[in-house]
Amino acid sequence: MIDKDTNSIKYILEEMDPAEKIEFERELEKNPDLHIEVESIRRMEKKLSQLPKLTPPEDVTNSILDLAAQQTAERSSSKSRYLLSAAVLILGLTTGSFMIENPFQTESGSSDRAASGLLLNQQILGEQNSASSSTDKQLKPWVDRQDILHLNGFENNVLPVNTLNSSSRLDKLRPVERMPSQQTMRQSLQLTGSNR
Amino acid sequence: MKDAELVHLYRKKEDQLAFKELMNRHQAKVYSYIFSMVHNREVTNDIFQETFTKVITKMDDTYNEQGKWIAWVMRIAHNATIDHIRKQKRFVDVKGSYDDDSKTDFYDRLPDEDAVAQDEKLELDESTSELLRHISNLPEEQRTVVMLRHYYEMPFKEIAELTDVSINTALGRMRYALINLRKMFDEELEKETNSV
Repeated sequence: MIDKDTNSIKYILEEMDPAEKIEFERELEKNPDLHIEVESIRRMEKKLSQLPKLTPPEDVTNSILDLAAQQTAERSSSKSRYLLSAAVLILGLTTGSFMIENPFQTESGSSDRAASGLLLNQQILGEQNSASSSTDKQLKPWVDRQDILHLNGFENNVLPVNTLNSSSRLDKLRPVERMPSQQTMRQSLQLTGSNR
Repeated sequence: MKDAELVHLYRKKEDQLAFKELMNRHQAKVYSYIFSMVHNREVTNDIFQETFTKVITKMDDTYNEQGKWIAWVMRIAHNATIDHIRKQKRFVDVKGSYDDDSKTDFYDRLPDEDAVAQDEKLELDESTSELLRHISNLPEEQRTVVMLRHYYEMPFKEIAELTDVSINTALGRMRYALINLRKMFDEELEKETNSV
């Protein structure tokens, strides 16, 4: 398609830049055939204004609007699911990072199950230290080969009641009933969790 | 409020009224364009509904809010319309001679099946019916350019992009469409004159 062919339509539809327009109008004055073509096309172009504007039936429009509402609802529900997932993820990450920063909190939580003798002793010591404040006696716990915990320093081999209540770990222990050396181990209390 | 703001309200704020306003603004243009291409109310309804179903369901994926919303909608409407027209012509032998006068081949000159005797249903005046009838006889490519320009006042740059041709080709098609329409009116007038 050469430009010359499209100049008339460009001129009629005002698609020319000012310089092109001036040049084309000069050409138009000199060329009667071009003038006839321009007028003929312009008349037809004006005739197009008779074309009707039609509107779609109401039921078609309504069904489209219903679909739009449905789509919005679906999008909204998937957005909620996304936000919930994001919230769970953030909670998980926050908890994870908190655990990394404070590892002893979980270890102390699991110490109920681990219950190493050392830790138990430390805690009992701690607890007994508070108990000893009332008795002014220092506890000296130790464990023998038969898994018997010896708490020395109690008067009449009696563990103070508040000590047992305050330490749930001691609930699993019971006093040794038949201790051969009981008569000789004065000022001490023997506890065991073993069935032996 | 601009189209872009309404689109944003619908997409981000899920505002149904914004979408309804967009529909109200543009539905007549879209509907009229489709009808001018297929000349059948039922088919127009189907294509119109198909267009807006795609608009609603694809907006999140394919519309980026950078370009004009209506140009994007028109592209969908245009593609759906052309798909329909081509389906109607699918089984026809297109090996035909090229007509230098109208710049069309046999394929272009095939009348659309739907374009027959639909105008009377619209209760249009005689002049408008005649115009619609002549437009329906234009080759599809020329008709598309005329309708896009008329109903959307689309710049030829956009028409060229939409129809995948150069600006000069789009302008050339417009020129030939108007010349062909003038010929059709002249022939009609000549027949009437001869019959009297």
